[in-house]
Amino acid sequence: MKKIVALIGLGLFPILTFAGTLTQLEGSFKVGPAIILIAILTVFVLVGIIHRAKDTTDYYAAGRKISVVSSGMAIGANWMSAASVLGMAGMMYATGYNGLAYVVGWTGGYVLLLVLMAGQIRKYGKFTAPDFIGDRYYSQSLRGASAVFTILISFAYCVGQFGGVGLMFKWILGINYTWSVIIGASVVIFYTMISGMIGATKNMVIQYIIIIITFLIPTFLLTYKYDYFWLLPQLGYGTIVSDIVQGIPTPNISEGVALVNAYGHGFGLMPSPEFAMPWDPATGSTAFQWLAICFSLMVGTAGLPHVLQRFYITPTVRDARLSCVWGLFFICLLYWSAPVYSAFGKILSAPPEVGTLASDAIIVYTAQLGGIHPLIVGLLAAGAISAAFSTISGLLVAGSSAFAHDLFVKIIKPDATPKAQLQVARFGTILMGVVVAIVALLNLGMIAQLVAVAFSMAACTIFPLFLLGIWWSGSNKTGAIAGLSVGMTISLFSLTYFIVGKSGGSLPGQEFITYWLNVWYFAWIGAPLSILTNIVVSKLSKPTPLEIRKFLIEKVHSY
Amino acid sequence: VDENKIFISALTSVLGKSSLKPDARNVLANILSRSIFNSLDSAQRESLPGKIQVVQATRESLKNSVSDESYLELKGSFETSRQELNRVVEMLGFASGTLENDIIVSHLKVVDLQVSGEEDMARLPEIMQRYLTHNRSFLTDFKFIGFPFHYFFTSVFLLVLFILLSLGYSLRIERLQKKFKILD
Repeated sequence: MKKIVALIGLGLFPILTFAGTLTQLEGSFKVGPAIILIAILTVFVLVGIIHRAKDTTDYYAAGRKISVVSSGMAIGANWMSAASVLGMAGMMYATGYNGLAYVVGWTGGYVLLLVLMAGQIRKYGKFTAPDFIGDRYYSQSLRGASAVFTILISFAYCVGQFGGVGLMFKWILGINYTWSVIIGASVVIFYTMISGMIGATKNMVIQYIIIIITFLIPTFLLTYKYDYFWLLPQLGYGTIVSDIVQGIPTPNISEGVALVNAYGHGFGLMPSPEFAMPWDPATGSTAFQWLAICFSLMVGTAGLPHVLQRFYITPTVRDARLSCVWGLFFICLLYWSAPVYSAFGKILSAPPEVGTLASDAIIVYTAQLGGIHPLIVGLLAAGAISAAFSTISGLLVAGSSAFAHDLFVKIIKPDATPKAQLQVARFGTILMGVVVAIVALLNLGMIAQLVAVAFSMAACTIFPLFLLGIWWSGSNKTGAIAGLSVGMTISLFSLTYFIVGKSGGSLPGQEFITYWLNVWYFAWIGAPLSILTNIVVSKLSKPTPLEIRKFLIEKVHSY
Repeated sequence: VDENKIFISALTSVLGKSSLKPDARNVLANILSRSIFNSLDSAQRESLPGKIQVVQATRESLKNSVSDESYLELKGSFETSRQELNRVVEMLGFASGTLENDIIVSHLKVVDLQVSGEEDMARLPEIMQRYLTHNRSFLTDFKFIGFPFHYFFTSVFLLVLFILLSLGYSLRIERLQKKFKILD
């Protein structure tokens, strides 16, 4: 039974009168959220101090003693960036069903990871993604190239996170972007530098719990408040989607006073099927783009170095597999819930005076428009900061270990002592963290957007090397170099068009390339071409040496 | 007037969508305002620009004063000036307090009727087609626990399927390892 409540006011939509304050993030010191934020930052630092890395195994692989569920939570937190928490709902709010391509792509990628790689990577049991590539393809140049890729991908991804950190720090503490980046970077660099993978992982478990609790609470409150099925908002919001498609009738008017309508709302909504219909013309996206994004993100997820590196930390191969299942479940908890915000965002911003919500922090605007208590909205910010920190620390470990382990120890100074290796790893973390922070301070929008290219680039370069490296002993060094070259060429080609386009310029065939080889999904053709090239060239060149075939059987597949 | 009312109704059905791109919104707002001006008698037509300008000015002041003490006062002026426009639109057959009336008031702007609106009208068919054509079938029209079925399938079921596939794979591998006595 829907409640009929008289809405006192001069107009139909009382929400309009203060919408201006709800659809922007006012930068002022907020006591409650600030206490929570300072408390969680202190906890992150303390956890880092308590779990100081004692050797390189601790620093790169958390001592290989992380339990299955903790590892699953760490996989979830490592994966869920500020963009996932803040931006995922915004993507679905703005592009409707098209946004679900990201949900499907980013979760489906973990199925590929599990079936094709997780167990084998753990069985191989070294430290980094370039480690495997260097050993499997018996090539220092491939080890070096993949280490550089790892650093580049981690770098671009990391810079993008600071946008979210800046936004949330400014909102809660009222400080400007520069100070937000300096404080945020100092905390995350400090605890990652002293504790490496072990401290980052222990923190990720805490960060996951913060992220998921803060993300879920408003979904329960919103569905309860607006009289939808609140016990499981992840299913309860289905009716909202249908309401958006069909439209919500305007409220009744009685003697100048607006009453709620049959849906229990004080507002109406024009039928908006474009929110839910697949590849709707209104969104400007096509079925091809939807499928290409899905494919590229799935394959790209399975090729991201900081994701692959997480499978080295469990005690056994079985644990690596199960942690992947848990990780996927923990990620899905958030991805099932993000559309709840987009659907509520849609109906709560329906009144024309509210207008279209900005996509930078749609979950916050939706919670504010829905009248959620400011302290709980503040918790959302704490969750977003945790998400940014967990991803940044994972990326710093991936980038610094590629620098210290793969470039310094394996190529430049193979006789480095364990103590020197640990020092270089720590130096690598500081170096990468400081450079990332400096670039983030420059606030170059272009760099932050380069995160888009990370997935397709990983799909065209690292994924084929792992896929064929694990599953086809016939893939050899020459084939790998040829395949990698094709993947790199396509990546650079797409990236060039992207940068020129974003800078306002135009190259021959700009529109054609932007559509067919977009930075988000050029892997739809790049990854298969890279794999095909690897196979053809391997067949035509000198076969894989016997010792590598033995290496595959003994170190990667056997038990 | 009836034809004009139907035309304005059609425009509001698209202007009410929050997914509308800014340039398309601008074109539709121009056409809508032109139609409203054309529907009024000369006296109302002359007084309308002043009313619109007051609403626009108070709306801007309101946006810039969200944390000022003058906010409440401005809010009152804004609502009063909006009601003036609500009443004008009501005379065209869109009852005050309805969503259509509100959308019209929110998009009304001052237009010069001497200037031809052909450029905007030329873009109208393409905009209306883009925002009123949808890919629908029984899969999208069929409801499942409140969802349009296809939406449930993609946003909820596929994720469940991925987890079940992963769990099934892990358990199967474990069973095979036990069967063939393979130890990690």
